[in-house]
Amino acid sequence: MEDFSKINTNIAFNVGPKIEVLDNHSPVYLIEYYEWFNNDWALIYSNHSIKPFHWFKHNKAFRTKWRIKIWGLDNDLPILLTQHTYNEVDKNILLRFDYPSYKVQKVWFEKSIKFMEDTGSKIYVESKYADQLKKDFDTKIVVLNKISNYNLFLKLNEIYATYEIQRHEIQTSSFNWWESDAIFENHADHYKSYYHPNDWIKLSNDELIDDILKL
Amino acid sequence: MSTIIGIQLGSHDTTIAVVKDGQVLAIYEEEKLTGIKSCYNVYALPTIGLEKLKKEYNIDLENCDYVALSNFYVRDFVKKNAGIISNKAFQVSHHISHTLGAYLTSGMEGKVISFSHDGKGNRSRGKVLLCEDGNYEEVHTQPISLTASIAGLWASTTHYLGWKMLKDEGKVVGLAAHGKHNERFYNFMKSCIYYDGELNFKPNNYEALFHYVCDNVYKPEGVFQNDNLRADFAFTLEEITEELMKELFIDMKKRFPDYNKICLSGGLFANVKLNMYLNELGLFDEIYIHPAMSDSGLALGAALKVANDLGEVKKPLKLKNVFLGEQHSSEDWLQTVLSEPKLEFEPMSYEKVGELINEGYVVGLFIGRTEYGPRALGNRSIVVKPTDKQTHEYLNKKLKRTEIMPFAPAVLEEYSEEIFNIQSSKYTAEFMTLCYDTKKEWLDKIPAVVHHMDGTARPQIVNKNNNPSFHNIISAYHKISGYPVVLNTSLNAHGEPINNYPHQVIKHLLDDSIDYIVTENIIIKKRN
Repeated sequence: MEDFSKINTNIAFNVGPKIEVLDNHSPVYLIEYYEWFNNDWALIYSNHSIKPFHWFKHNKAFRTKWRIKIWGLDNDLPILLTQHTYNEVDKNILLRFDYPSYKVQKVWFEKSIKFMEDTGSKIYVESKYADQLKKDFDTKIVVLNKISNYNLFLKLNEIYATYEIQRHEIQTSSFNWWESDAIFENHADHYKSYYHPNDWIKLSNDELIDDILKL
Repeated sequence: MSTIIGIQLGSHDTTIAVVKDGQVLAIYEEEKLTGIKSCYNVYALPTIGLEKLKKEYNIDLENCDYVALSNFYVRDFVKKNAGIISNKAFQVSHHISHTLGAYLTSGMEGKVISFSHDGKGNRSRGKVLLCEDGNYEEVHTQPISLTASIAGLWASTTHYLGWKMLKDEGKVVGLAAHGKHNERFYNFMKSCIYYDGELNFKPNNYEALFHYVCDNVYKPEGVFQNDNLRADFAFTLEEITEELMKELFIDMKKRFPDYNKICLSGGLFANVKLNMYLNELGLFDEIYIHPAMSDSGLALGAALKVANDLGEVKKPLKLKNVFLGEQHSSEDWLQTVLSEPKLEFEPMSYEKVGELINEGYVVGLFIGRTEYGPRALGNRSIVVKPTDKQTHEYLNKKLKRTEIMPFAPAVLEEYSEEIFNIQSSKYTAEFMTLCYDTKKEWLDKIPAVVHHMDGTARPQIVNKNNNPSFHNIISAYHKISGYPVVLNTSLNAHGEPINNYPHQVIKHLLDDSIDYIVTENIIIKKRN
């Protein structure tokens, strides 16, 4: 049997979960995205043609409980190489605030402090009101002005997950009594968009962060 | 009492069914009305079906009492008709439509399990219902995102073997009989799917694993181009399917020991070999497979669910037959025939039809209303004498078909047990949904309708009261030949659904695919 113990992968959740396969033990890999649903792991997406040293990213950008599996081939049978379950404890999480009002961002920041305490993660907040937030809050959260080189920042700071806290695209369809107007992945839970699990048109600005981070 | 229109409108098998005053009145399958197989006409609206319903019975969405929708994917239809149906529309889930459609047409009394399983429908791959005297309780569902589907593996295999999913799965069943156990395929399939002991098949990533290996290992190796390996692949799939279903059946029997009858529905049970295996397990005294086991059965199931809720179908109905589609009058036929100078006709007599069959002609039957479901049962059938070994090749060539499955026999009920090993579940065989072993002494007598590899056949048992005209035709042939059996295949050319219109059938007569057309009143042939 092939020794797969040294398989090298990179999995991060920066505006959607990204899987990088930095390995060539198998000629082709199967990657799977699972989400916690009905007390079990529902498979919501898979791709069975990932070549060595390639990456794939799922669109779903809001915070949810992910499990990712990477399979290889061993004697022509699928073999599970690695599995990763989303876990924020002791991880670096970046929240990118984007809203014109300081009042709203202040509320988001308060919720971010609670989020940090609840999850045991280390939080970075990017905000155009960084200076004011630093002045108003005495907290362990790292507050940043606009990040100039985002990819480099993620790498240097080993950011595990990034969430864009803002009101995303305008909803086009408001109401559908057959409930099929949402993203409906493999018949697991359905969502309003890849950015908001719920119908954000009905949410106040303060509540947007609750929706995106599923607080 | 009410008039209920059931509508199945999904990616395939668009159908409408009408239950009026607690009885099944009519069912129109859009694929038969359009002449286009439903797998090529996805998300078709039931437009022609509704027109026919209005014309034949003066029933429409406006004047009916209830509309039962068997699927969630009906937005456009609902939006279009919102003003008419929104206050009387009921949504019935996919697998409730399957399971109740089967139970409420089974005629079964006492405790009955109704089990459905298919690729997917409304977040479920199948359901288990416990039924008794018209009441039912849903005791289990197989959620799509958490479970696997055996039917899904059949659909994928059909695709890899180069055929059309949702249409050609029967060819895989036929091919399986030519194959043998292959350890490599067996281990692979076992790694993709298993029974979890909780009425589910798992894992939920079965499809991903299946495609991963098929696309990246078997396809590049040429497995699906090699005749022997193709057959072995199909055989192994049938083998795994039977093993999994056996585990499920044993578990169901253990959980519900008082239940000795079972109804089956969903696309998986179009597999007559599997049905035979399950019947022969002997775990249940009687098995009933819904005559329209695939999604065209949903429209009736949904309508029956509403009728059951209203108390208008209190106990399971027993379908006399499934001749519920469109009917064409004698005048229609006369006009059609008279307008075609290349045709001539004579009055219909059963004796004459019996003679034609005996003389080896390929006879198309176009009598009464079109069948509901995938099987032609004597109203839109082609019949041929069953005694010639070469018929399979000859008929495939004449009809321009590529059938692998042997053609099926239609047998007079009175003689069915003399020819086939029929111990139980006789009623469901009126709809050609089960295989049986052929008795040794008959194997050489009717080779055209027996599988030469294993001696099985999927007979249609023809009951005198339920299917009188077909019974008369077979009886006439029996009188002349001594064989109470004819070969029965559907009246259509390659790639077509069962024909529903005179002009379709006349085309087959003119191009010599068939030799005669028999209607209620006339026998038509090409002028010499």
